Formats: sequence, C-alpha cells, structure tokens
Amino acid sequence: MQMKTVARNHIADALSGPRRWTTVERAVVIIGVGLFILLIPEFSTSRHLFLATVAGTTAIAVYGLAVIFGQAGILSLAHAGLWAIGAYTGAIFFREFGWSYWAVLPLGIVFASIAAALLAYPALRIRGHFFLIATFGFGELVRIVLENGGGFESGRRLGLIVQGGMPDFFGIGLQSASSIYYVTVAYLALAILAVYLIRRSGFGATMRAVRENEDLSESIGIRIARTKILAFTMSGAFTGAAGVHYAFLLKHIEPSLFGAQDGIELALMVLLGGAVPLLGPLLGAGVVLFVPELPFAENPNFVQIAYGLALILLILLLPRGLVSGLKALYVEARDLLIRLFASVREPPQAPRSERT
Amino acid sequence: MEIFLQQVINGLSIGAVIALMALGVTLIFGLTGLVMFAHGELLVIGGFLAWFVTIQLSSSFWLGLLFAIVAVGLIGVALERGVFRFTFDSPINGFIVSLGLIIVLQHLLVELSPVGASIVDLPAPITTVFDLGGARIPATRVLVVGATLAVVALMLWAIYRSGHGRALRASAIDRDTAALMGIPVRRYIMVVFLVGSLLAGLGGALMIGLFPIDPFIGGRFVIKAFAVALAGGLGNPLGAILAAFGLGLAEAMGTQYFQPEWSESYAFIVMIIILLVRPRGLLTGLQGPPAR
Amino acid sequence: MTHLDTDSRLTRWRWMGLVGAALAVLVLGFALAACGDDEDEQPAAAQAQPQQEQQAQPQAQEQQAQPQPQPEAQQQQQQTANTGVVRIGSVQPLSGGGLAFYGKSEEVGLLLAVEQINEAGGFVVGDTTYTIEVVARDTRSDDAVGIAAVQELIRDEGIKIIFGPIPHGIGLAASELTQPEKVLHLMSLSILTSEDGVLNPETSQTTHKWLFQIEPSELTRSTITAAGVLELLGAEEGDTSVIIATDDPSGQFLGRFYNGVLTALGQKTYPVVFYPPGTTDFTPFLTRLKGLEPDWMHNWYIAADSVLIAEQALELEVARGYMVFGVDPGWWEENFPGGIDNEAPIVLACINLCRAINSSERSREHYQAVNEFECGNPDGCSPAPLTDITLWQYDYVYMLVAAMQKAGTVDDTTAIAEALEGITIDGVLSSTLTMDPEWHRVAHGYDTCRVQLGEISCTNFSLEEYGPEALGVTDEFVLANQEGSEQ
Repeated sequence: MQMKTVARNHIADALSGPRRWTTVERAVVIIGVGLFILLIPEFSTSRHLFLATVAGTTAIAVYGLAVIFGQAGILSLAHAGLWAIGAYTGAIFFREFGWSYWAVLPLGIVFASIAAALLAYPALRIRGHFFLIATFGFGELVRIVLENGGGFESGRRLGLIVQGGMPDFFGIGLQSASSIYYVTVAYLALAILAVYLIRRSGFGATMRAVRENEDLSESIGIRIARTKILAFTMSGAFTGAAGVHYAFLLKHIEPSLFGAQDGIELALMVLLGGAVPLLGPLLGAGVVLFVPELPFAENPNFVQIAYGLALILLILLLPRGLVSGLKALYVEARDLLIRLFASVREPPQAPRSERT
Repeated sequence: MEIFLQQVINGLSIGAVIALMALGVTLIFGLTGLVMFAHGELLVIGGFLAWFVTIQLSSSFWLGLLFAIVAVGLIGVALERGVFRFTFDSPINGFIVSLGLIIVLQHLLVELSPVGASIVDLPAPITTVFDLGGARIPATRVLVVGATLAVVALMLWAIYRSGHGRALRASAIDRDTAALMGIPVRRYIMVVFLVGSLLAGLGGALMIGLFPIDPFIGGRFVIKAFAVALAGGLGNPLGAILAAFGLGLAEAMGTQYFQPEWSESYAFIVMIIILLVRPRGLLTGLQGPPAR
Repeated sequence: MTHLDTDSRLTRWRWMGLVGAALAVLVLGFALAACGDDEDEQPAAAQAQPQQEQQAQPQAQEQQAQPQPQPEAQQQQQQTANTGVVRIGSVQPLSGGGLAFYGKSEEVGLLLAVEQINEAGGFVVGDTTYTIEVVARDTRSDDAVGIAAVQELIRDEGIKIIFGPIPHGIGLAASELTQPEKVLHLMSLSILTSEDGVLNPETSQTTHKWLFQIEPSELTRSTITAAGVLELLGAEEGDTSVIIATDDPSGQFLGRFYNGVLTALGQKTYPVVFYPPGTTDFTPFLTRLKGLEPDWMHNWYIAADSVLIAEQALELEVARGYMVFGVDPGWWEENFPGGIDNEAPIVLACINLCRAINSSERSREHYQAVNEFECGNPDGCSPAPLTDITLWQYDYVYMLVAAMQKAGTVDDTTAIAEALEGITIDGVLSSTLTMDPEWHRVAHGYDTCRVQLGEISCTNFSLEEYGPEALGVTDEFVLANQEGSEQ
C-alpha cells in the first residue's frame, strides 16, 4: 500500500514537474559510466586501453575548455597551444634538467595557467568571433615558435623525446598500461570534480552572469576583467596538466601535434559532447578518438568529413551538444512511457498534457 | 639590387593572390559580419578546377580559368543559401560553421581529386621569362599581378562609383535601415557571396598558374587574407588591397633579410596586434554589423 | 571571491565532503594502478622482487609465466610435421598524411621478402620448417594510434619481432615500448644512432639490446650522398653549396647534418635556409639563396617539395647545378614539368638504390620483383612512383632469417639479437651487408643520378670509396660545422 503510494507520487512528480533527471536516474548514469570506465582494462585490448588513456588525457584538456566555454561562454582555439606549453614544460624539465614526473606536473600546470591568463587579456577587449580568431592566431604562433625557437637544440631537431617516463610513486610502479590508465582516470575524476565544484561555487555563478550579460554584471559590481582572467587561469591549469601527462604518455612530442588544427579538434570535442553537462567533454573526446577505430571508418577522409559535418550540424541544430540531446531524447521517451503506463493503470486520472 | 627587385616581384605576386582573397573576405564581412574562414578552400577548389580542366580534360588554361571562376562562384552561392544564411544572427556560429566547412571541403577534395592528397601542378600558361637587370621575371607573375589590379580596379569602381555599390555600402552600414529604404539586402548578401567566391575562384586559378597547390593549402591563405582585411579595416576594400600587397612584400623581404623560417608568422603577429590594439582594424572603413 | 559567495549552496561540510571524495578518488586510482601493475608486470621484473606483490594476483602471474620458451620447445618436439609460423609485426603510416606514401613502400619491401621466403618453402631452423606471417598495422599518421598499435602487437598479438614505424619521433617512442619487453625491433631511422638517439655501443649491449637500425648512420648516408652529388655535378673544392630544407624536426636534423658534411668536403657553405612545411611558393626562399651566389643548390628532404623547388629554382636560375633528394629517376623522366633537357645539371639522390634505372643486376632483379608485386608488370608501374624505399625493409627480412638460423631459435629474441650482431648477408643493397655488432646498424652505398640535356645516368657510390672513413669525414667535425663555413 505504502509502496504503491510512493510509486504513484513518483510518477506524478515525473509527469507534473519540469522534465529532468530524478536522483535515481542520475545515480544510475554516474555509476554506470564510472563502472564502464573502471572496467575498461578488464575487457579491452591493449590497443584500446592505450587509446582510452589518450582519450582520458585529452578529455582533461577538453574539461579545461569546458570551464571557459560552458561557464563564461568564451570559446578558444588556442587550447592546443596551452596543451603544448604543458607538454613542452614537462618534457624540457624532465629531459634537460632531470626533474621527475611529479615535479614537472605542477610546473606544467603553473606555466600553462600563466599563458592562459595572458591569453585572457585579449578577451577583455575583443569578443565573439574576433577573440576566436585571435586565439586561432595564438595557437599557430605557439606551433611556429616551438618549431623554430629556443636553445633546446635536441628538441629543435626532433621533437622532445621523454625517455623512461613515469617513475615509481610510493612504491607503486607506474610502468604498465593499466596502471597508467588508472592514474589517468583518477586525474580525469579530479578534473570532473573540479568542474563540478567550479560550477557550484559562487565563482561559477559569477562566470555565468558575465556570460549572460556582461554590462549588467558589471553594473552590479562584478569585476569582469578579474573574472575572465581567473576563468582562463583555471582552464589553463586543466590543459597544462593534460599536456604534461600527454608528453609522458606518448613518450615524445613534436610541434606538429599542437597546431591550429588540433585546437579546432579540441573545440569540436567540447561542442560535440556539450560544455555544460558534466559528462559532455568526456563523451566528445571519446567519440572523436574512437570513431576512427570503428570498422566502417576505414577511410580516414570520410571520418574527417563526418567530423566537419557534425560540427556544422551541431552548431545549427544541437548547440548544446550530444549529451544534452541524448538526455532530452531519453526524458522524452521516459515520459511518454510513463504517460502510457499511467493512462493504462489509472484511466480516470487523465495525464496532464503540458507542453508536448 | 637584382635580388631586391626579385623579391619585390615575388612579394607583389603573393600579394595579388592575397588581395583577391581579402577582397572577398572583407566584402562578406562588411555585409553580414561573418568571418568566412572557408574562403581559403574556395581558393583551392578554384585552383583544382582550373587544373582539372587544363590537364585532365586536356583543355586550355584559359578555359580552366573561366570554368573555375564560374563554378566557385556557384559553390559560394550554394553555401550561402544552404548553410550560412542560418547563421547571420550569430557571427560566432557562422565562424565555427566555416571551420567545419574547411574540414569537409578539404577532405571532400582529397576524396574527389584524381590524385588524392597530392600536390597538383600546371605548366606555366606563359613560359616567357623577362630578364630585368639580373632579376628573373616570369611573364605569368606579371600577368597575375596585372589581372589582379584590373579586377580590383573594376571592383572598386563598382563599389564606390556605381548605384549598386552605393546600395551595398548603405546595407553594410546599417542593414535594417537599408532594408527599410527598399534595398533588397538579402539579395545583396547573395551577390556579395557570389562576387567573393568568383574572386576566390579567379585567385585559385591564377595561383596554380604561379605555383602548385595541395588540398590543405587554403588555411594559410585565408589567415593572411583575414589579417590584411583586418589591417585594412574590416569592410574596407581599398584598405584590404593595400594591406595585401604590403603583407606580400613584407613576407618576401622578411625571407630575404631576416630569418626565413619565421616568415610564416608575420601574418599572425600583425593580426593579433591589430586585434588587440584596434579591434576594428587599422584603417577605418565600413564598420559592419556589431561583432556579437 | 565575490559577494555572490553567500548565494552559494556549498556549505562548509559539503566542501569537506567533496575534498574527501577527491582524495578518495585519487587513493582509489592509485590503488587500482597498483593492482594493474601486478597484473601487467613482466615475469622477469616480477622475479626480481618476488616477495609481496606477487601475493595479490598469484594466478595472473602464473598465466603470464606460461607462454615462455619451454612449452613451445615441447610443442616443437611433439609436432610430427615439423612446420611452424613466425609472426612478424609491421607498423607503418599507411593513410592520413604525407608519409603514408613512404609507409606503404616500406611495407611492400617487407611483404615482398616474406612472400618470396614463403613461396620458396620457408626456412629451416633446427628440425622445423618455418613460414612467416606478417601482422600489419596502420598508424594513420597519428602518433597515439601508432603507439597503440605497437602495444597491440606486443601485448594482444604476442608478437616478438616488429618492423617500423616511421618517422623519427614516433619511432623513438616505439622503441621505448619494445625494449623493456625484449621485442626485436628493426627500424629504418638514422636518428637511432645519432647524438639524440638511444643506440650507442653501450646501450646496444644493455638496455637496447633488441633494437636495430636498418639504415646506415647519418654520417655514412650524408657523406656518400654529398660526395656522389658533388662528383656528378662536377664541383670543385672551394665552390659554394647552399641547402634548402623543410622546417620540421626531420628536416632540421637532416639538413643541418648534410651542411656539415658539405663543409667537411671542402665546400663553402652557409646556414641552411628552412621553409615552413606546406610551402608551395618557394621563390622568396630561392631568391635569398640566389643572393648568396651559390655554385650548387641542394635540397632535403621531402621528395614532393624537392620537385617543386627544382622547378622554381631552374626558372630563377639560382645556381649552376642542383641536387634533388629522394626522387626516383623514373618519376623524373615521366613527370618533371621541365622535362630532362635542362642545361644546368640536376643530380637526383635516390633514397637507397634507384628503381627505374639500376646500377646493378641485383637491384634490377629486386625492382622487377617489386613491380610485379605492386602492379603485376615487371617492367614498371604506371604512374611511376615518386620515390622508392622498399629496400629499407627487404634485405633485413633475409638478415633476420639468417640470424634465426644462426641462433637456432625463432622466439628467443635475445639469442636472435646476439646472432644479428656482426652478421653478414649477400643483399641487394650490398653483397656484404653487415650489422655492426657495436652500433646495431648497417652501412652500404647509394645510387645517384645525373640529369642533363635529355640524358639520365645513375651511378652507385660505394661505402668503400665514398664512405666517411675513406674521405676522412668525422661526426665531430660535421656537428661542429652544421651552420656552415660562412656565418
């Protein structure tokens, strides 16, 4: 009796309230995705395990982009450049100065954050696609500088090679593929948690206020410049960490890995998955890196064409990204089912038809 | 001295191709606020079509040139009708769409090209090489610079002296008011896309007369075209053309007298500095719709 | 933070909870990492510290330990037919990007040799006749995919011998994966034994015992090429030679090294002029070179660019003669826009031995087989390939087989590696192709062709006459003079 009432209330809630996730559904998705990620080493091949590790690392950088795009509403094509700064900091200090992985990781974060903060200054003056073009230029400049610059002669000639890679940590060897994967997953979980915290914090609200209406925010006392610079600094920290980790993962880096094309690819990932949903960037990175692995994707040209078309269609039709789209689709289907169920079980209580 | 002269010729001919691109970029921006990054792909398609007609169909270069201009013009209109008209409310969306279009067009070209991703090349349409005090001046380069100047003069006359040009400039200054005054703004947008694409087609066909192209070369030209459009004041055709020849010369001189491996970066540096210091461009021109 | 903080729904205990969750996530991550380590750790490493960590996953350890040499040896004895299959991995860029062309050509060299060996009935080691199976993977010109493919071959496929991949960066990264696993790894990358590489007389006996450079050292290649080119051009000591090269890691390495060699051979040289990758209008760069009033202009290293550079350089009349790297004479004769009637001599440096015009009977036979394999016509493929590098792989399959026979095993990679050291075979590249036991690399001569006034002729420049030892060119001098003699 009791149970039935609870169930009925639940259904009624689902029908009347705004269409959103219930706590149960949210928990199921989180646990499901979490289990899937944790169990990947159990069922996947070494090849896909490594690609999953790369996807996880890339996703961390995409989360960095999601912070400024999802919250502050600023898209950047320069994040491949910030990624490069993280990676090169890691590789140069590891190789030339003998620092350990654990020492270069924070250093890479700091350097990328500083670069990101500098990148924020143009965002104070120019907006929208003008800023986007400036970041495009910045990304290419970083690549050209890496190609030609610096006194690191060995790096100049062949890209930096990170030999040896990750050392032992508190007695745990980080040499095997699955242990590196789990460390990457831990970083990824931290990144997601950080994005969650930023979103829930007062600063997240401030960023969203700036995104919605800059002039209004300024009039109520929000310091636009500081907000934007801080947002970029945070974003750079994610990307820098991803960069250092990436250098150790790939064991060598070269400038061509970090051009404007790669910046566009990161933007594609964030647009694809969606910047606002927590799992959006992860899905975006996963899709972009794993689609070429599919058996029908043998021709790389078609994969690229599909990416381009996806980018265009997403912008025109699904600007909030795949995750939001899937969620809306699911909620729609669920409500339809519940309504059918309810109308069968309790004919007198006609379903309230709201906005369908 | 002859080296200096040689670099002047090199710079002017690079500048000519950039100028044809920049004219299209700046016109489209002036009227719609759209920064059309896929313009470089139109240039490349123009070059490929000229190559296809000349070599694969064993026709003459001049027929190829004509075909490239017309076909690319039509592609431009199709893109405006099929894609870009949905983004005129939000230029940032238009810009991202054009990035997606770059990827699509590049790889479509690789897929359709009989030689895949390889470089395509034409024998020079005119093989004469003038010798001017030690400087070697291929007649093709003279032709390219000459043709560009003629086309540019025609365009400038049309924009600044004809009735349609006046209506166009009026639409660019204030789209809504112009529409209220009875100017068919939508049609002008289409015309601007058509003209911009025709110029890109011409630029591509002339370019492949100068040097070979591959499907991925468009990006480096559009960034230069945008940089000079910005330097000349976005929406200001005359400024864009002057800046284009300026950049061409700067690159040639930079290669000669500074580090050649950095020559690629000048356009980016110019662009970023101008964006930072004067977001609306160096010279004032048509303002274009608000940037947001 | 701002005044909006007060609106925040995060109270203090929530913060603490979340920080706690973060720590828990990290701890969990590392705990899983620790488990992962136990599973994946190699038996050799596990034996080194057998005490505690083994307890966690004893079953996994045993499973890992099983497919070691002994069971397979038993298998061989049990088999009555006495046949076996040796599986060889090949990782090359086969799609996506400018190097796919090279990757395919390398793979053809490997597949051709394997086909010939198998068709001849395989090879005998001990009392067993083996055939070879190639497991090929495409890097899609993406470094992450390439490294994933190498891991796949080693771990999923259990392969113990890998050829490739190119180019330099990913090759070095791949060697970091193969060597700890004692996988025999053969790569045609001169970077391996350069000053930035991983192979030297010390590492080749310890950490990189299983790594072999199936290409001569950069010193050997640059010296023979430069000496051959200068001779064919008719250059004299004191002439000015200038170089134009691609501005990417490989171009910077190869171009500057070659500059040092030209200096060592008595040429007056300047710093290398680098052009950005993707350039198609070379005239500003060539005009700059022309300003140096060179006698000879050389260009490294992307064949497709070299053709364009030569074309534009001829038009500008940059120098008295030109060197073009990596273009096969067959392509040149068929496709070069300027034809072959040029008055200024052009010298084509083939990457190994030229394909369309052969300097020896052995290379003619080899390329007829390649043509047959690639397009079914021994006289040549149409269109003619721009460049050819099948010989970066072909001979070394035979060398590997010889080493297996010498070692008397097909799966003990350490024994095969030791057998490879110092082995000499009668190959296409050289009748005495020898694997240097200290440096784990080979040495041989190169073909170079001269194009002038409608004629193309190719000459082989041998290691004995034109090698660095014969000409007295040393690594030290070259490295000290990479910026040229006139700065």
